[in-house]
Parts: sequence; structure tokens; C-alpha cells
Amino acid sequence: MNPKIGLVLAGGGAKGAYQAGAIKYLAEIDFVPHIIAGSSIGALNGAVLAANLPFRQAADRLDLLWTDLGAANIIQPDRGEIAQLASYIIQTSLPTFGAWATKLLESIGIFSNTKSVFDPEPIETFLRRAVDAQQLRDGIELWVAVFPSLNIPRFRYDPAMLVIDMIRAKMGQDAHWLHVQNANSDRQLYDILLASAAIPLAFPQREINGNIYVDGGFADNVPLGALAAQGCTHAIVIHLENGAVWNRHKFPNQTVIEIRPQDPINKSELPLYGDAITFLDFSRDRIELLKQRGYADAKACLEPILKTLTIERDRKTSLNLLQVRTQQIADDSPVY
Amino acid sequence: MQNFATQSLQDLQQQVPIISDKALVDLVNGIQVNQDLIRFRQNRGFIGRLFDGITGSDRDRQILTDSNFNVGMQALHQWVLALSDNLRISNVALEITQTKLLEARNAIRNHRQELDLLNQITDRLQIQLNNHEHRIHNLEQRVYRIETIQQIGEIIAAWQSGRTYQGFHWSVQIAFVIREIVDFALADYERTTNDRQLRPKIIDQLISASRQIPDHAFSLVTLLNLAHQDTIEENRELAQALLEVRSLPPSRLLEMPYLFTLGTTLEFAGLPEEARPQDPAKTAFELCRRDLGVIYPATDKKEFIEHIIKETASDRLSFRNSF
Repeated sequence: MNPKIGLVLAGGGAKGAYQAGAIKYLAEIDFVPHIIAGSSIGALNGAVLAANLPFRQAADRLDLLWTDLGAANIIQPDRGEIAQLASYIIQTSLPTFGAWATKLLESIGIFSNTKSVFDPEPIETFLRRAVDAQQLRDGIELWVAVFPSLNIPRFRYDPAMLVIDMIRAKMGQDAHWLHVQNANSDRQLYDILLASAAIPLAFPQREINGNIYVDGGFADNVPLGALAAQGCTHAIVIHLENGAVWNRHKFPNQTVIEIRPQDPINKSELPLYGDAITFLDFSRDRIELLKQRGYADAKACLEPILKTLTIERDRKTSLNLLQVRTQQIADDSPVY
Repeated sequence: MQNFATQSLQDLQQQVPIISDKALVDLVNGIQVNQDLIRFRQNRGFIGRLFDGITGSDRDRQILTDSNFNVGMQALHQWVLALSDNLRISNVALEITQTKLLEARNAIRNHRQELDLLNQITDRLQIQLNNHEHRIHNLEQRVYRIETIQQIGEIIAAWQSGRTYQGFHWSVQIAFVIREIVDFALADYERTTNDRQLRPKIIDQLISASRQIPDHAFSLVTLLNLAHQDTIEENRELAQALLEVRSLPPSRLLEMPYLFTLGTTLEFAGLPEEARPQDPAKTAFELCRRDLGVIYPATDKKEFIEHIIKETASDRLSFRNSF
């Protein structure tokens, strides 16, 4: 059976720059995925990679885009800093801590008739410039994780709806995996990508084929399952958090390599707060730092694995040769 | 044909466990993941630990660490098994190789002994061959000598019986017979074998065949004048032509005073009367003494024959070797 190699990109907002650095190293060692899956910022990174082949060129393109992103400062909040943090607190703590946090935030009056904290227009424009729809359709197979929100007519997405979604996620509502290249229009293609990154309350949810979707990280921040369902045999997963609780052994049929940040990736160790301020920090210095760390961590992770596999392959080859040669010498008739 | 080692090797080949790439990746990457989880838990602050305790993520990380550890241990166990069997196969291969090496060394040793034996035999054969070659060479020389003696004997016998050189004076006959002996037998023999021992034998035979010549000494000049006078009229010109020496280069003449004197005598005697010296032999003798060196006025048949043989043979050898 021919191996089907996948690349899985976790969500994590501005920490996605880390993936750009890691992927730069992967491209340098001639890694080329057959299929990509991403959630949230991972979905957007995946779209850039899938649409700008060859893969090494795509890695360079992604690296450059993140540099531009740091310079452009396009992520601008519509409301105050507290609202940004509150939005992300809810997103990052889902589904385990969300109910408690939401209640807390509601009680102090942060959420009230909020549609979205950030203006989606700049990020949409940036995405359309970075990813050509036709090239994406012709590129590497791309899957994104989205979470199906409740679609109640005449009800806007508000904290109450968010709480309901959190409860649904906790009760076992799975994320959906959407095949981006199956979009029936360019508009829908971009909507799928933006839906995966539609942080509840921070960015507007997206409607696709009658379903309302929000950020896939809600229920599946590391969507390897999407690739496993497509017959993926090997995958590299790039996480965007320290100590990520993600169990590789749930995929017994896949050979998985996890690249995890070795140094603290959040700017603060405080739970929720640290995640929130790092998630939204698209500053140039921060992006460059994360890219460098991603490159270094990928190298530190892959080198010992590749060395081990090479040694083992050489051992097997040597053993086979030894057996063949020994068989030949054993079968050889006596010289005297 | 299968031997014990071959059977062992086949058995071991069937037992070799294959460790998958997944197991190796789980082992190495599992260590890296566990390092991340352990580092995260070690560095977690008080609020973080409290938060993780409430959400249960700390327990999840502990379970994940244990799970990675367990899977890693299983992979390590598989790898150790694979390496152990690798080692077993290597040992069997080494044993087979050593056996074959000893076999090859024994073969080389046996070949070496055979080679030494063959060398000894060859040396002995070489000695025998050299001896045989030497014997054959000696035999060939003896055969050649006998053949040469036979040829010489036939030439002398033909002369002695009167079938050759009749109508010439004895001295001219001697010169002709010796020239025939040298040209048709002796020169080749002496050049090939470097053997000069046939000359005394030839001298003896010629003396024996020259009984009409007295044994005592006589005047060389008298003998040479007789060479012209006692040769019949119709043979004189032939004798003069065959023994002429004037056309020879001086270097050759220096080694042949008797033949020079004989040829010059015949040449002078053949001159018209008004040009002929009163005593051709005397004149030739004096000419020889003046130009060529030592020649004695008195001689006997043995000495004369010796000189003619020596001069004829030396001149022919020198002449042939000059080519």
C-alpha cells in the first residue's frame, strides 16, 4: 500500500506563525504532503500551502505572508481590549471550562448583543489576496474542521447561543470536516476557510449549505480524524500550545509525528489570559520569534526521528544482505 | 545440498520480527511529547495547576504521559527483539563464514603443500632436463664430429684414390684438398663447436696419404717451383686461377704467407717468358718475407700441411665471421 502523507495544522490565532517556521524546515527536507487538514488559523495556513505549489514554494509564500501580516496590522478590534480577551477566554476554554467562564462574563456584563468583536473585512481581503481560489481547487487536498452552531431563525449569535454550543460540544457534538475543494463557488470556498477561523463572538459565523458554522477548534482543534477517514497513513501534526492534551493513540492506523512548542509559546503563564493575549498578538517581533521557534522545534523533532528510521532501514538492509551473502556462502560447494 | 548451518539460518530468517516505522516513530516522538507534557506540568504555576485540576487536564496529561511511556516501552521491546534476532543471525552468519574461512584456509594450506611438492618435482625435472639437454648436446656434437670426420675422410679418400685433383703437383693438390675439407666440413664444424681437435687428425690423414713425398726436410722454394713444373700444362692456368691471392686484401694476406707464396709462385710462373722471374718461387718467397713476415726457407710435408690447413681454415673462418 502506498503511503498517504498528511499534514495537520492546529488552531491558535497569531501562534500560527509558529507553523510557518516549522513548515519551512519540513520543506527544506523535501517533505510534501498528499493531504492537509487544519482548524482555525491552521485551516488558513493550510489553504496557503495547498494553493501555492510546489510545496517548497508554498512554504516560502506562507513565511512571507506571515511577515506581511506582522507589518500590515490588519487584525483590528472593534471593541475594547476586555471584550477581545473575553471572547477568546470563552473560545479557548471550551468545552470544559466554557460554561463557568461564560457565566462569569455574563454576570459582569461583558456580553450584550455582541455580533463580533473584530471587523472581518481586512482578514477576508487578506485571505483572498493570499489564496487564489482556482489554484486552491487544483492544489493539495485540503480539509478544515468547523463546528456546526445552532441555526435558529431570527436569533443572532450571542453569548447565550455560545453557551448552548458549548453544552452541545460537551455532550458530544462533533466538528464537521469540510473538503474545501468541494465548495460549489469561490464565495463558498472562502466561507469554509473563514468558518473554520470564526471564533465565536470575535468573528462572524458563516453559513454553508444552510448550516451555520463557527471555529472548528470548538470541538476538534487537531483534525487528524479528517485525514484518517481519507486513508491517510502518515501525518505530521503541528501543535500551537504547550502541553497540548491530544492523544495520538486514538489513531492506531496512522504513523503520527507531533511537533510541539518546546519553549513557552504563550506570553503569560496565567491560564486563559496567557492564551488570549498571545492569540491576538500579530506584532512583527512576535511573529518572527514564533517562526524561528517553529523552525528550530521542527528540526529538533524530526532529526532524531529521521536518524532513527535511517539507522533502522540501514540495519534491515544490512541484515538482508548478510542473509543473502551467508546463504550464498553456505550453499557454495567446498573449494577443496 | 543443505548443511546444519544452512538449516539454522533458514530457521532464524523465519523468526526475525519486523519493527514497524510507526513503532519507532511512537518511541522517539513519544519521548518528545512526554518531554513537552512533563515540562508543562513542571513549569505550571499555582493558578495554572489549580485551573488544570479543576478542568481535569492535568489528569489527562498524566494519562497521556503514561500512555506514551507504555507504547514507547512496547516499541522498545519490539526493537530489542528485532536487534536480538539480528544478533543471532549475525552470529550464525559469522559461524558459517568462519567455517567456510577455515575450509578455505585448509584448501589453501593443502594447495600450498601440493605446490611445494610440485616445485620439488619441477626442480628435479629441471635438473634431469638439463642433464638430458647436456647429454643430447654432447651426443649431437659427437654425431656432428663423426659426420664431419666422415666427410673429411670421404674427401681425402677420393683424393687418395685419384678421383680428384689429378694432374696437379702434390703441393697444389694439398691446397685444393684442404680447401675442400675446410669449405665443405671443417669450417662449419669449427665455427659451430669451437673444436680445433680435428686438425691434427686431418694432418695425420693427409701425411698418411702423401707417401710419395719424402719425410725429410726440403727447400720450400724447390717445392713451390715444382708446384708449377709438375702440374700438367692444361691445369696450370686453372691452378693459378684457383690459388691466386693478388685480389685479396692485405689484411687477409698477412695471415696466409704459405698460400700467398704458393699463389704468387704460380702467378709468376704463368707470366710470359720475358716477364717471368728467373726463379718464380724464390721471388715469391722473398716478396712474402718482405711484405708479410716470417716464412722459413726449409720445410717438410707435415709442416707444409699444417701451415696450409691453419691458413685456409683461419681465413675461411675470418671471412665467414665478417658477415
